[in-house]
Amino acid sequence: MSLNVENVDVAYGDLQVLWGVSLEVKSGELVALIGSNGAGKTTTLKTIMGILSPKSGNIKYLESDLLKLKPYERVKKGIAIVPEGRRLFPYMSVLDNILVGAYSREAREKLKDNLEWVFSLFPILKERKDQLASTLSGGEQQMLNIARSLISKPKLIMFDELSFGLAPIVVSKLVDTVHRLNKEEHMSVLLVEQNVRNALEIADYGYVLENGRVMLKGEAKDLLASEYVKKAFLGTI
Amino acid sequence: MVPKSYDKIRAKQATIIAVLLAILALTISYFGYGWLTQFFALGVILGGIYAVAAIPFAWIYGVMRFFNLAHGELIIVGAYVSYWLFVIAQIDPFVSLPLSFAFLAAVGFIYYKVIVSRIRKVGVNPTLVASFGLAFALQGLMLLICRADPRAILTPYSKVGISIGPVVLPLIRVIVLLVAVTIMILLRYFLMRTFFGRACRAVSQDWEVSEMIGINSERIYMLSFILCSGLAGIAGTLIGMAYSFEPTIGLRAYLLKSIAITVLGGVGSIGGIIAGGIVLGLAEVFGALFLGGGYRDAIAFIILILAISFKPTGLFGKVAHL
Repeated sequence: MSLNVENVDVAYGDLQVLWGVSLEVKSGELVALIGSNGAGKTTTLKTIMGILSPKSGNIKYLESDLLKLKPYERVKKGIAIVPEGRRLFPYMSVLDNILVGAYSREAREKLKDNLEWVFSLFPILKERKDQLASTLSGGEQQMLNIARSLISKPKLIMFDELSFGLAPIVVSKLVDTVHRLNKEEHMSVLLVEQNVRNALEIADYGYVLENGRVMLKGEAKDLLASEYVKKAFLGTI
Repeated sequence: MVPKSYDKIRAKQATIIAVLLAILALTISYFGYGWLTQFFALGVILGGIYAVAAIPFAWIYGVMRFFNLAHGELIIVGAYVSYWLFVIAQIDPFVSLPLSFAFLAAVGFIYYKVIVSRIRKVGVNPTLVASFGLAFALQGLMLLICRADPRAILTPYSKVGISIGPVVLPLIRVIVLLVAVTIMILLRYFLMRTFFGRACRAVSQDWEVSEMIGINSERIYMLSFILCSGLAGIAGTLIGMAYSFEPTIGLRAYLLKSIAITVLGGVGSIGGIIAGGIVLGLAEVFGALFLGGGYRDAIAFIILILAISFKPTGLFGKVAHL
């Protein structure tokens, strides 16, 4: 068991958005977190990353209590997030965007190998490394967004809206990359994805979030077959 | 052609402006107005020094959106550090540059720990009040310790002049300008090419994502504050060598001119700040020439008001981050 979220309540001021959310991502597992807009998916990821702190509950990763750690310390533990909406540093070059992700000493030591590895995953970024990030196409921006988080070679990576606003052909490429990271590099993955079918097809396990609560959980293939998921997300009965 | 980086564009624009100004200067002197070239050179030197004084202010604002109203006092404290080291211990001001940096860096550290880091979380207005308060406290302290007399660091070589063509300049101001330019080039390299510089730019553009990808933004703020306070000290020493100073001049001259230059040049790049500094330096020198010396400080504010009214985006289009 690697990441363990237990009974987490999160509120923005008086507005509570997560109610007793529990989920776990086992080592080497690919877990999908699905749910409609406003269900609390991004809030869950931001809480795991430490950008938001919960009112109550526990978050553990391996042996450490994450709630005691600042976001940058969580990154050092090997957790990474690919932020929602391709939030790059628009006035920095592609290469600089990636290098910013390698700020910690540990990441800097392995920078050369990791940079080569990231460029082998996304060769287009190597071609465009001196361009400003804001001049990339949507798909390339998302690749850069992922590359920036991968450069520290995390053990657990969380994707927030992997395919949001991207062309289908790019989406299937990215989904394939995520699948490969999980299978070939043995990274644990927590995947938040609008395209529920895509997500559940590559996932081992899945959670369905509704109005800040975990409504349903189970093996991904069971979820894919469940009436609730079919009705709410896939539009087929 | 895809634009590579705004900073490079700015650096190019600044170079073009500098070359045009140089051509203008040469033309003027060719037609026998050598004395104009003299003022021109003095304006460029003044502008270069203004620029090096404005960079720490712009950096702090760019990285953490902190409007450091005590900036001018930090500069003048730096000038006094070198002044007293020279008067008491006969340490050459160029030698005491690192000492001035270290002393102000320490002041900056205390300033950050005691005031900035606490008050930043409260809101923007308290930071204005607090830094303004610190400005007056430091001013009072300097008046108490150093008295209100205008001072200048007068080294044995301060009176030496050098002539370049039709221009005769005080040697020390030329050296001071060269030191200032060197510092700005180093800073640009530091900002663009080091991990710390990249992290500064990242935090400036999106602090939340910076945190998510493993940057300790609090630490970046603190280090920026220490670095920029130290740089203000260096700027102070340079100012003390090239011009005279007194305890109250920091607020009314150097802080407000730093603001004017930052508005003119934009926070986004060291090239823009240099261009803004030179524009202000030239305007002041020629303004003083044609309108009388009493209007020197007023010119900075006329420029600031004109810039905000007609070109609020700055000379090159505003980029409000590093």
